[in-house]
Amino acid sequence: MPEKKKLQGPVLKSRPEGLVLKSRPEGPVLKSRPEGPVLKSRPEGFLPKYRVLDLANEKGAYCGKLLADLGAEVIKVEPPCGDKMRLRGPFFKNEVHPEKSLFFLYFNTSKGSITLDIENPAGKEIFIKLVKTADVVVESFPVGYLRSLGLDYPKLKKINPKLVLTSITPYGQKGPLSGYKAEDINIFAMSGYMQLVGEPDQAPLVLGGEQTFYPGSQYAAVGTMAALFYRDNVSKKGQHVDVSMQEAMISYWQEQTPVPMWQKTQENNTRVGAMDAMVTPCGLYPCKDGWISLCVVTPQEWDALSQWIYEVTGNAEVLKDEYKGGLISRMPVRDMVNVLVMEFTDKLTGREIFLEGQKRKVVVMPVNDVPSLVNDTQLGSRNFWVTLDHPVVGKLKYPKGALYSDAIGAPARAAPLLGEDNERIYCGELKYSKEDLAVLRTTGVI
Amino acid sequence: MAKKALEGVRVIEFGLYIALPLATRMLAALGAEVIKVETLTALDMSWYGPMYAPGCLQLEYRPLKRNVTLDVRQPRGKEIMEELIKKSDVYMTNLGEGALAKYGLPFKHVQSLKKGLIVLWQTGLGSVGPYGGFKAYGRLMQHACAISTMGGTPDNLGVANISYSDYHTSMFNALAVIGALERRRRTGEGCFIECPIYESGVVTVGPALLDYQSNKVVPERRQNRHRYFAPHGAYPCQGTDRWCTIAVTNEEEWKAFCKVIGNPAWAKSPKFSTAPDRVKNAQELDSRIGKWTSTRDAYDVMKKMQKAGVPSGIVSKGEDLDKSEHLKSHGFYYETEYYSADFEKPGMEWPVAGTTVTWKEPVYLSDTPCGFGPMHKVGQDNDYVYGKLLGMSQSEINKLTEEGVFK
Repeated sequence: MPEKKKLQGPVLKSRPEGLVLKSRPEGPVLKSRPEGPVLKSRPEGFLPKYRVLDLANEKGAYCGKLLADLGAEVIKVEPPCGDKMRLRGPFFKNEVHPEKSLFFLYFNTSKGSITLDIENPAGKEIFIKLVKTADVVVESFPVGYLRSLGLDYPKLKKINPKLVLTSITPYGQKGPLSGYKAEDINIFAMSGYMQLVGEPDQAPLVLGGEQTFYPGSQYAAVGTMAALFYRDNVSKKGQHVDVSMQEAMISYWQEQTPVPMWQKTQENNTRVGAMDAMVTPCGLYPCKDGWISLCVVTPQEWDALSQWIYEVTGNAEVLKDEYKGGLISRMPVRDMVNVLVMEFTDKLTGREIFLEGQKRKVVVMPVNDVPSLVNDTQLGSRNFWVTLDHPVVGKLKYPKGALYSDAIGAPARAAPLLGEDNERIYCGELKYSKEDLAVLRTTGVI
Repeated sequence: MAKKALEGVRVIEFGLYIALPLATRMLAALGAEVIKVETLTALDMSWYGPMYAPGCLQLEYRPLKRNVTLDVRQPRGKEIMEELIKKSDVYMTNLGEGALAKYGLPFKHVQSLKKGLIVLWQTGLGSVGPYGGFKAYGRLMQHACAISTMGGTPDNLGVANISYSDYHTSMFNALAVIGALERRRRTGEGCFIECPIYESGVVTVGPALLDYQSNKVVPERRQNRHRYFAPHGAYPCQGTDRWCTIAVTNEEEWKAFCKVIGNPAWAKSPKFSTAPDRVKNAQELDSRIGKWTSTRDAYDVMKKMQKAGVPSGIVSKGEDLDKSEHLKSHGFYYETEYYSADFEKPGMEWPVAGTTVTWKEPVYLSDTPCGFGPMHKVGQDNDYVYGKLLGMSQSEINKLTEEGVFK
């Protein structure tokens, strides 16, 4: 990519080292970490009776994961050759293998798997049988694909009027862009979020970790659960839940009010780098051993921080009235305030500022990298992790989710092997014999 | 009017900032009766924003919610809060444990007020543990959750000018509440749920957490380049700060892409013939593509690529979202009034500051579409809530208003 003029943020310039990551203080290693919850005593969960057929690819897999981790029975319906997510890196021990994709393993915890070619007439028939047993179908196919198979919502509704169909696509089911192809970076860009990431005068950047795979699915899970609640409470009927990943992502940066701003000022939001453009102080500040992030929103927080700065630096300038106030009151003296804060943060380590700052009710956050999250004391102390044993990759610790409640269990199982539940579903439920199963497999139906 | 999915559910919102009000915005759009309880004695700081039109930011959080003023720090105020909770199905707060205890509203007590009550407490870094009770702002959470270290350039972290994980928290909040309502429908039981902003951000790092455990891989900051795909980036186009993103994920798309850019000789170089070659030589590839895009209009680049089946999309700005025919076809934005805060006056006397647009919830339910509508003034529903819901007489309401309980 053609680099424009290299221009670094005001803070970062003075840090040739770059980052905290190298000299990061070691998080205590959790040798004595308690084992994840025992599955036997797992609470009933929120959605124990619901069956979800999950046909979604990477764009909608998180929706099924959220529902599955909350206790629904989610069955992935994979083509006989396996979901393409299985071929997506990174891989366990870097070995490319359909059961070793860590991407797949993460997004498919608590789910089961059957293989089924829904394009095959016999496969379609089986799918219809399954739809009769399901509460929800989640899909993220290109718009129009299910209709081409005769499996769009009006058809599915006839088969099972109680079914909720949840569709997660880059731009929703309708509108001029509904047929547009999009990867994570394209959706991120089209949502406008990308315009806000990175340094001024440099290229807009995509956030790490393919972030557009989350918001659309979160909305889809909320919409699906609302539809189920309404069905069981009132209507006894299902409905179609249609989510646009672009719009979900737009709503994830709404605090910058892009459209009101354009309409009222004829200006657009842009990238501001590591420092907030409005709230001061707010952003990344250099400290003795790297970086620390802090943000002052209320007048009380500023009073606490300025007093502390004075105690550390002895510079009485910071106590002046002209710096007092909340949120945006320091905008006019932004540069001076940032200098005063940097003079202070430079004298302490990140951990000192974090712990003492929080004690003083100043909102300070460490700059963590992935290893520090895996070893984080706080997460380790909270039963955030659950160790799941996968037949091929063995034990890994997975995040349990963001919710803590006696009413919510942990993810029940590691991601499924391809077709792991074929016998249970096809023979146990649909009453195919093992011989039938062999025929279906040989003819490529499952 | 179409039925709403959560009709008949009443939610008390006792909190501020982004993550909690956004969750209840969603619940209100789904038909729940959300009552936002706030006090003019300690107003949400976000009333100051944005600088160009103070007050219009409130449309992002308040549509369709009922709004009452109540000072729970007064004994009578606290009692009224308890009565409100008794009339509700869900109580959601993001205030600190200390403040809630000070008000005489610790969770144990709140839960004892009503059988089947669903209580959601949104915290920062969590309620217990070494960082228990620590406060968090979403803007900084991109650092705590490692997101900023996974993107960006080798020199600079990839920082978003956004309250990153607040949004994830908001949807977890909403998901938890509807799940708990469903559970209560089945079992008759309420429950207590905690949702920390920290954890709701950490879960968006998922595959990288496994990659580190399995392979000791720490994500590299590779600008817009993808670990497995190339080309993959934002390419400069005609105009100021205009960019179009392009992502080629397989050979078919690569061939189509080459055709769109006129099958130049360089594209046939062995340096770019397979995906691994392209990933290895991504820098040169990107600079060549950038030369091609830089003389073209971003929309044109996007349309040409799409026509050929290559994933692409412009880097939208506010003006693009405003003009988008696609978003218009969904009716994504709608226009409504907002108010200008005057902390010396009751909220009902605050003037209309103007109108502006805000967004509808991006979930389209075919039978129970999400609602949208105006935001209520601060204290607008005092008469309805205190009179009709709690059965107070008008003279009692007037008296409590004068005494400052409803301030």
